[in-house]
Amino acid sequence: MYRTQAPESSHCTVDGVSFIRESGGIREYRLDSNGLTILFLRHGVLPVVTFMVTYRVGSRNETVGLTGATHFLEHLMFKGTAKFNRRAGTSVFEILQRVGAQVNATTWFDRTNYFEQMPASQLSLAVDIEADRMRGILLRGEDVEAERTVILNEFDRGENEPLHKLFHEVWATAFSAHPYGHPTIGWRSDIEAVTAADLRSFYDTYYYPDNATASVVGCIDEGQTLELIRSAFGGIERAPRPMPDVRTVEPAQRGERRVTVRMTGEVGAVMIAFKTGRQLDDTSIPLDVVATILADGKNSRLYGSLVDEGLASSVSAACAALRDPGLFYIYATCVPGITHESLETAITNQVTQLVDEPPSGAELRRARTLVAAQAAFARDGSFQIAAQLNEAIAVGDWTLYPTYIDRVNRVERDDVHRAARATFRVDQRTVGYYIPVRGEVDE
Amino acid sequence: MSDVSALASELVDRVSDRPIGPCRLIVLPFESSGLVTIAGSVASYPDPAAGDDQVQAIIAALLDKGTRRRDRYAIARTLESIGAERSYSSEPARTRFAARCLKKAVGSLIGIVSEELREPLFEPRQFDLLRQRVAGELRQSMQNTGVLAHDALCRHWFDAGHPNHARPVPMELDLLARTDVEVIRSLHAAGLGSDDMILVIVGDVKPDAVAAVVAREFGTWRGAGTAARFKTSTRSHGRLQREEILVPGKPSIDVSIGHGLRLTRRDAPFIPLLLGNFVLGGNFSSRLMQTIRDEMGLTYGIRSDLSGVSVHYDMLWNIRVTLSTGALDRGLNAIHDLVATFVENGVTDRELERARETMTGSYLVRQDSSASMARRLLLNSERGYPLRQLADYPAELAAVKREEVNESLRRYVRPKEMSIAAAGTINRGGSNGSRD
Repeated sequence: MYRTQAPESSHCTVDGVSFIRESGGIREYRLDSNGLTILFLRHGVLPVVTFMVTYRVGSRNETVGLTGATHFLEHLMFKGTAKFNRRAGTSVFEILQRVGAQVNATTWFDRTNYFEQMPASQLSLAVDIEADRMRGILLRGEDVEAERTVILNEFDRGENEPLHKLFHEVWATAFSAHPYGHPTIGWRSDIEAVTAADLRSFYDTYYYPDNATASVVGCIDEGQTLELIRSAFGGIERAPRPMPDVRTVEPAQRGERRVTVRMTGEVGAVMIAFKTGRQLDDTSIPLDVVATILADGKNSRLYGSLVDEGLASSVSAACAALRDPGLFYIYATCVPGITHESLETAITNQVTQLVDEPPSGAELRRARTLVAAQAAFARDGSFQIAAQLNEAIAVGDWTLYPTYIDRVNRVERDDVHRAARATFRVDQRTVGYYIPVRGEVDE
Repeated sequence: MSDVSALASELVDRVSDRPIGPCRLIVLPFESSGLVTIAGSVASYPDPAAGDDQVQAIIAALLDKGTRRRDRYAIARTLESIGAERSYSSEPARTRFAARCLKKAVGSLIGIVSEELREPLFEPRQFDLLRQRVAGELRQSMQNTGVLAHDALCRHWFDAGHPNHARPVPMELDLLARTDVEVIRSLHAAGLGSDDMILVIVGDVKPDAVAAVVAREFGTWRGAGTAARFKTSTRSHGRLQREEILVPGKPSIDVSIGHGLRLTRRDAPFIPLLLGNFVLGGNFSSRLMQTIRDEMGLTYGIRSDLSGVSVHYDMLWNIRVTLSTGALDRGLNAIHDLVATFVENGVTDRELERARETMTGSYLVRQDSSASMARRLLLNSERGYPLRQLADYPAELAAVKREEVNESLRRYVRPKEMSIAAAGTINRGGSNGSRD
């Protein structure tokens, strides 16, 4: 049972399944009958597998009045199908959790993913359920109503968190036209008003095999897995129409934008966000290195100038990796007694330095090592790998994941400098303050 | 079930377990992974009645901020250059550390962990900055409704001096203000040594090679000779109590419901009660989730837990739920009714079988990373259990009978004594939902 075999040295041949390509040990296949993409990686030493279906639909695909539809639908996917439902004693959770599977789903800007981390011997259960609910959910009105209050409670939980609000407000301010401006969970009024018919229409637009990728990561036989997936998914029809494009392009920003969130709380925060390109653009990997130079580790520039100097209790920076142009953001929490303005100034000074001159060779090497080590650590476990593949699928190219460390190691000082100059422009930035207030705030 | 037992046995058989100086070294080699995960701890037994648990937490947070041999920048440069990381944390009875690196760096990393544990600098400026940060986090936690509710429940059931007691934030802030570097240095000198040291290494290492490194780095470390000074028993109340903590601007109310249990991890009813609690609120298929979320649509999340579990002292049984303001009373009444019925009627054979199957499968799935394997090996050893315990756990679950589960529920879960702690924007004009 304890397995340490290496992956098969060449790809598998299964009728009805075409081999497409391989990168970093991950093999891409496609179902001939309907275009479902399959990614397979043999990994690990225990007989555990993660099965994940990624649909290339997220809040990016939502229109005015239907914000939150992707997330609402994600919840309803657990309400069942004719075959797997609670009344029959065969709900998704009952079937999968009974064998010890970790089961859940998430929704983000560019994708929705459903996953099961489970004993490898039970994989067929997850494959059957995901295939069945790809086109077969019940989507009953009564389920929509019961789930609406659950989602509103989830919404309220988010409303409790000032930093969550600040994040939403910065994105909403930065994006005036593109759907990245609305929160993934949707606006409250849309959650309250959406109907079963609206959600059915959304489901019937996006939930098809040719808009999905099934990823399998774990200690399991490749050929048998492909047979299993073909058998379960192979009979599902392709989408009858092409997926609708997201036509809206965010107009050029013509000046700095600012937003303030006032909520009850104790500790203030500053978020500064800059418009970036797409994750598939050349600047995205250098911007990951920029984020590390700025805020990863005790020798990072912002840690030294903010935390060590007693201005901030924490600082972080990240480039949101998205399919369409997104945001690079820096976030810091104020130490009591420190003003938002002084924190903003300190952040801006560090950003400006990186615009004015490239990092030293030693600083670049440190950042590359850190990014590469973090990427290696993040391969500890089948779920962690599948989760990262999921994000690469969402932005349009799963090979971003296996090639990531190599691409980080190719980043040079000039790449970092060029990316910093292109991104850190005052007229492209949005500054958000969370200002804590004591007591009730007028709504 | 037998597959999981067999697999666990195979893993245990691969483990190298040996004393190295003051340290119990446990190595589980996976030679192809390229990664190494380290988890370890020493017994340090801070006295919670004296506030030493807070001091120990500050010690843990300062350990990575420089040693008497080199400053924190030099250490950070070394770690960053080899792609390694480590962290320290404080537990009621122990000080823990966790680290990971690529395989070539394991010797350097163990050396740094040893140096930081044994020769920390405790520089005053770093202490001041940390104290400032911790004070900010404590003030921020006064807005965290989940923490407020859970801490209130813990205070209700555990006296100061019990590790499961949670001091109110103002008291924490007061303690923090009275702590200085000398207090930190003094407790480190008196309380942190190699007592009952356990070091677990999982990943791409050779046991003999790593044993030599551990002998070099920890072989001469002496124990501090500390002993447990905490209270071990929960309080008794005998009737339902309710505490509301009003926090403006929080439309989602966090609620913790439950009571202390006169039970430790070593007691025989623990496993039956664990299974029974799992049926009640262990996952999406549990009774609480099925009824309160799926049928009634009252919450995004609800679960019941045995928390503050230890082989040394009593634990807490609690249900945690979030309810929107308008659903608070209805939710609390529904939860109370469900628990009362559940305890009275107990679990069914089918539910017990499913809980066993789930927990056994989950036991396997949760070991799907070197980090989780290392944590499990460490926890098992900290509890003083033999390694075989890890292989025997599935059989232990399988042996539990329905009568034992239901007896444990009737004996330990007391719906009439459940306390309720709720934090958020609570409408005090409504009924209080109490069933006194």
